Amino acid sequence: MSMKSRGQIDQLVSSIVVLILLVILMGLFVMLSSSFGVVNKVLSSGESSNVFNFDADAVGSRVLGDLFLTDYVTLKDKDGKDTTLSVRDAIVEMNEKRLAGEDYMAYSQVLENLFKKSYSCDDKNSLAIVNRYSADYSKLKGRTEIMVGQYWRYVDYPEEPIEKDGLSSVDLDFLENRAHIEGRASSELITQGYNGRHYTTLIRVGDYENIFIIIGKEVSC
Amino acid sequence: MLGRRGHIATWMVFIGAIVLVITAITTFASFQNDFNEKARALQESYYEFSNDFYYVHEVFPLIVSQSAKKSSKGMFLAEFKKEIKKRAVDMDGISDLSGNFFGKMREGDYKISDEGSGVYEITMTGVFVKPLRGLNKIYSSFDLCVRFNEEGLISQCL
Repeated sequence: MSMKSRGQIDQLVSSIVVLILLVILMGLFVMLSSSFGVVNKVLSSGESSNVFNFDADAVGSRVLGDLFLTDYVTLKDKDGKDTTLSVRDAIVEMNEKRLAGEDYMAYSQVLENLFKKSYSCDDKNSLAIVNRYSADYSKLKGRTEIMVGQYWRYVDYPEEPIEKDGLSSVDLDFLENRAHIEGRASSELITQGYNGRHYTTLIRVGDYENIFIIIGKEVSC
Repeated sequence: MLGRRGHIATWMVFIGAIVLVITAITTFASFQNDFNEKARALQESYYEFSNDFYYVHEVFPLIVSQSAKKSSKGMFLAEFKKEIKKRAVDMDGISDLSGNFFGKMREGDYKISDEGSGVYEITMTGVFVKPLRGLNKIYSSFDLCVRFNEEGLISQCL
C-alpha cells in the first residue's frame, strides 16, 4: 500500500468519525435548544397565544346597559312628592331600602316598567338586577331583585334561570375578559358573553360591589 | 504529513461546530422571552380601541333617538340640546370611553341642520378615540351624522 493511498484511508476514517460526532452534536443541539422556553413558545405559538376575540355586536349590549343606567325615573319620596333619579341611583336606593327593611317594590316596579317600555325591544332583551352575596368572584351568588325577559333562561349568565326572590348560585366565567377592564369608570364592566341569541353584559353598579345588572341584548335588536 | 494536515482540517469542522452550538445555546438562554407579553399588550390596545370605536358608533344614534323622544314639541331643538347634554354628562360618568365624544356632546360641539318637513341632521366632526395601554396608542378620528325628527331616529346620513 502506497503512502498516498494510506493517507486517503486515514482521512476517510477521520472524516467518518467527525461526521458521526457532528450528527451526535446536532442531536444534542436540538434536544438542548428545545428545552429552552423561547423555542418551545415558537414551536407551540398557536396554543400559547391568548387572543381577545373582539365582537362588535357585544358592544351594543354594554351600550344598552349604560343607557339604561343613565336614564331617569320619577318616584314618590317619603312626603309623596315626585322625585327624579337616575336609574343607577334608583338601583342603589332600592338596595338601601331593602337592607333597611323598607318597602322597595315601587322602585322595582318603576325600573322594570322603564326597561320593558324603552329597552326590551318587544321583550327580546332581558334584564336582571342582582345583589351578590358571595365574596368569591368566580360565582355570583345572590338575590335577583328584578328580572325582565322571557328568554332569560337562554342567556349565558346564568345557565339556569334565577328564581325571583330566591337565592341563586350562578357560575360565571367572567375573569376571562377582565384584562381590558380597568377602573376608570364608576360602573364597571365585568364581563360579556354570547350564547347564539343574546349578547350579555354584566355591569357592577356604582361603588357598590354587590349590585350588578345583567343585560341581555338580542342580536336582531 | 499531507494526510495529517487533512485530519486537522476535518477535526476543525467538528471544533467549529461545537463553537457554533455553544454560541447558539448561549443566545437562546440569554434571550428575553416576552413575545407573548408584547403581543398581549398590543391585543389589549386593539381590543380597547375597537371597543371604543364601536361604542361611539352604537351610542350616538341611540342618544339622539332617546333625546328626540324626550324633547317636548314646542321648544324641540332647545330641549333636544339640553337632553343631549344631560345624557352626555351622565354617560361620561359611568362609561370608560376614551377620546372626546362625550366632551363634544356636553359642549354642544356639533351642528344641527334643518332638512325641512321636521327632519333634522346632526353632524359631529373630528370625533376621536385614543385608548392608552402602557406605551401603546391607537388613534382614529372620524365624523358622525344621523337624521332624526321629533319621533326619534330616521337614518344614518347619506
